[in-house]
Amino acid sequence: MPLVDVTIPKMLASLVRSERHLAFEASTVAGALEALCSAHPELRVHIFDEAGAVRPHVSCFHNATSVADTATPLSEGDAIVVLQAVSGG
Amino acid sequence: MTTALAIGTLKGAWIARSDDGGEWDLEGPFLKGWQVNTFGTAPGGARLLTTGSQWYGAAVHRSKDLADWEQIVDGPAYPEESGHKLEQIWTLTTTGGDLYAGVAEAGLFKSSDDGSTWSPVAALNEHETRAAWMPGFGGLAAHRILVDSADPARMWVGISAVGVFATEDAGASWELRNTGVVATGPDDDFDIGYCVHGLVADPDDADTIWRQDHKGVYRTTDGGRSWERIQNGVPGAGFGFPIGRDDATGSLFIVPLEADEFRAPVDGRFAVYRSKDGGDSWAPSGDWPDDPTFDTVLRDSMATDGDGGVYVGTSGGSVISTGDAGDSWTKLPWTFPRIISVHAFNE
Repeated sequence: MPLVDVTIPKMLASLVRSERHLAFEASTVAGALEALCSAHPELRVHIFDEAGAVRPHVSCFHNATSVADTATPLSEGDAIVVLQAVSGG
Repeated sequence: MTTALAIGTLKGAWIARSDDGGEWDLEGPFLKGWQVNTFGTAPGGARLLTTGSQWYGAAVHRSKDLADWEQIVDGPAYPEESGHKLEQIWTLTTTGGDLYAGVAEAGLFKSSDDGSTWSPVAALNEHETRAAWMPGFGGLAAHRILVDSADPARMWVGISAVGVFATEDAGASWELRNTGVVATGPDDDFDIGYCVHGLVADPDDADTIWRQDHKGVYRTTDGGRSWERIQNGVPGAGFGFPIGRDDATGSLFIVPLEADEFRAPVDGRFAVYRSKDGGDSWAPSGDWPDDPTFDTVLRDSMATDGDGGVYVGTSGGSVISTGDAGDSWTKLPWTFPRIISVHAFNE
């Protein structure tokens, strides 16, 4: 499987005493997020809702493009960025 | 004895410690950037806090020392098929070996392993009235849990804006107990629509409960089967959020606000009011500034330590304390983000 870079928000990284930039082997965006949550299971509740969907105010980008389908395939060196959506005040 | 005062805010938690209520040392922020909703103690003695976030959902965190916090992986969560969303965890209560959490969307969860795993209390969460439950301004929230220490099978849960539910069989069945209280949004089919804000019980008589409601201040002496209004001396419409009791003196404390249309002290006269006669009459406790102060105290932001200590945190970020059950009050030197929760731990 390709090795990809996953970047998570500072709030989530500090919660699990992790670096913001992580590397996982994953063939899809969903696989990368699953690898992240396997490495840091505390993050699952913060990224996914009860139905297993990415939370509405969490944004996920693949190579700087907003992810519409987490089944999107990945290539070696791709970048996944999990962001806190701009909402609230 | 050291008092560790846990202060939960919109942007993290702080811990203030004092040996005598005079000089305080401050640590924090912990959970920096996270909304900290409440604190508690697990049956095994670990300290707990809960975080909530409009982005990242809600979680429970555990610590041995109120400093090094670890998130519990398998916190309270509704089953997907329930159709309910877990938005916030507003209160934690321990009884015997069990730990309960009250949440929004309104519901109750139970843990029997110090918070490591949780299960929903289905008889309440799927109560026959559930479909008619309506949220208050602060959401549809189970935010206060009382337990009869003499018989832990007897519990009371306050849900906004639904009312007080009681169980006599450890949560297997629940009934509404709000007779005598004015509803904020009466329902055609069920006796619900009561916006309870605060509850506190007499530890020696669990059937005596005081209630700060959206629609006034109330007392019951029969476990909530009937309530009487007790607002003699309370300014405004009886609106307010927290209610507390110093168990050493039996004094009760509230922070009256003008009304739900204007949730601020009447004429800016911020004061913690005290009743020394079980709620029959109320008066400002101690002296308060003459300068107008349009600050408020939210429902989980009043704490007592059982020995004359009462602590309130305001939405403006101030913490005010008394060590003599309200005869005199002192403002702590710091200003925090909006304070959502204050708890006193004896160390």
